[in-house]
Amino acid sequence: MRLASKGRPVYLGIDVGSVSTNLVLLDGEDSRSSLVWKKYLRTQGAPLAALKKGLSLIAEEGMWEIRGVGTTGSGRELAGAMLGADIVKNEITAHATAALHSDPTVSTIVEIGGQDSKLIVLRDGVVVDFAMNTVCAAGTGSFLDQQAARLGVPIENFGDLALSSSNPVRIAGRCTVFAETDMIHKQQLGMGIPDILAGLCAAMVRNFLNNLASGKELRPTVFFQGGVAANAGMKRAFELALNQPVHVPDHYDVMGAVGAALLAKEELEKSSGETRFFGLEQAVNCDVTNRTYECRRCPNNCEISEIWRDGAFLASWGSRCGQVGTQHGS
Amino acid sequence: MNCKIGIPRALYYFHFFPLWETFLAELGFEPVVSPPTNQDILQRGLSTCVESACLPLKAFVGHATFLVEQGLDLLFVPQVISVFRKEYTCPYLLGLPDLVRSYLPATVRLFSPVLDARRGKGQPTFSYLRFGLQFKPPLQAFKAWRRAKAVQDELEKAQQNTNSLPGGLNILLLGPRYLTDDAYLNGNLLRKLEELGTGVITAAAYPDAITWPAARFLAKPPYWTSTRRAVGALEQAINRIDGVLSIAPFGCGAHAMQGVLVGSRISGSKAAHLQIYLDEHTSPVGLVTRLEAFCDLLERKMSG
Repeated sequence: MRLASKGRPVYLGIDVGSVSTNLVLLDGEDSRSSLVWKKYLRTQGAPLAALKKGLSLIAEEGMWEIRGVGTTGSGRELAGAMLGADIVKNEITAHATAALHSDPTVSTIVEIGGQDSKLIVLRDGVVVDFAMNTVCAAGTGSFLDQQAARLGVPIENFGDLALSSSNPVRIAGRCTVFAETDMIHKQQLGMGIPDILAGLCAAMVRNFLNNLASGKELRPTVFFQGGVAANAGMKRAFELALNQPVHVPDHYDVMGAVGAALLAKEELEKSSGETRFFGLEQAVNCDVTNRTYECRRCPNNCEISEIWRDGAFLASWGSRCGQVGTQHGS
Repeated sequence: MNCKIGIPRALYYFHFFPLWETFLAELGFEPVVSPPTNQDILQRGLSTCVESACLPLKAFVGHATFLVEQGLDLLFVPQVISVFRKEYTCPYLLGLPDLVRSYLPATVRLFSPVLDARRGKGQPTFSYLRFGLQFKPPLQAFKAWRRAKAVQDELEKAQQNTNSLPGGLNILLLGPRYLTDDAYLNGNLLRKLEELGTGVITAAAYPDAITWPAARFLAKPPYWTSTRRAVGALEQAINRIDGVLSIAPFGCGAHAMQGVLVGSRISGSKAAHLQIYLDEHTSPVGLVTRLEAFCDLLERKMSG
């Protein structure tokens, strides 16, 4: 970094997800790497804009010196290329790292995000098995969002309303399209919204366990993280289905970002090198553009997505043959 | 006679292409194989084929319509009912020629010898010969078949190389050949595994003479050849591998059974299992995330 920074040393973790873009700062001198700052932003289809907004919030405080950067989430490559991240890691590893950091005895992690749901099984602090939703986004946060909006319930109140139900209705959980049909039928029979919401939570949990947990032993300690863990109705439905307590960690909504920051720290300690980070001021002020086009070189017609920073080519994705993108050189 | 005949590069082509191409050439045809699956070909299949069919079947229809559009009016689409005694191919494939015919103009002619090894080990040979006799006298037809069979045997032997595991992370890749060998349908899976530094071995490395006895521990022999081959190969390889990667088309019934059998065999071993379902997705992000996480898991398991 060009500026003589005297800020507090921190590691930056970024999770660019489909629904939210999360940034966290972990204390770089504290051996426990405690979380000192976090931000949960809605991605709203524009990951680069969300990312820049988050970074400008960090820059405004003017008290942090970034030692290293890690990115994760479905937009991890994009964010990593834009910022010069020290490590770009998949969400499973990031979530497992963060959960183990907050409780080394964790054996089961349930993570439900915007378009993914994951189940991670650990033994003695090592990931031994995992499962992700198969081919569609059924049973994830986006669906809860959509249903809450349809029923006119703010998503923040969803959980408490579901908890107030005394008689949850039964709703088909196999597919969210079926679930919606079922919900509408029950609603038209005059059943109350809290009962429908509680029934929906139970159906989603059933769907999750049937799809991801079959044949797996879910031992305590069970963690529930990801944006959907904010929903107390979902937490209770998991507890009822698993017949054991489910823990929602303090920073459940940004666990992916915490994991990315921890992995960045680990990586830099291993290599004992300097961060490749582009710099906070520079990242906030740079002009990043995204260009998407259909390659016409062969009948595959791959959708190529390129990222440019201040007029210079950074990286591209989407090419199946691997020949497009490298043409720009470095 | 120098008549062009089209062979769609899909489904059982990946098992039998040396035999089919050589045999047809020896019989005096000029075999024309459709290019490797690409977006254009798959799109034809997706927009033509019945909605409930699986991805590779839709791709087959795409290849067939592509060939017809290139001006070919003869296609070689054998009806593969069984390739091994007491076993079947999947129900969709049993009726493949009839299904494909319904999507092609009436002027297109399909050549569809029936291959049904359930009726006897020699049945496929007779079926090929009977097909050949329509175009050549008996001796020449027999010689054509023998040459084609020799090419096929040679390739299968070359694939039966189980010593190719390089060390590091070793993965047994299970799944139908028409997915493992089709780089477009599987999202360039093999290249990604190579980039992640893994050694890959597939069920093709083990001949039926090994996988059939190896799968006999099952309470009931599987209906499907692909399932038996996968279970048998796993039984042979289980002590030499770190993980098993199963790939299947979304909604495949035959695979549903195989996944359970593989999963239960793995659960008692040190290896890990990942299942991947493939469908029409054009973005590789989901696939890459799963593969990376799987390799991370295997690495951490090995080192800790």
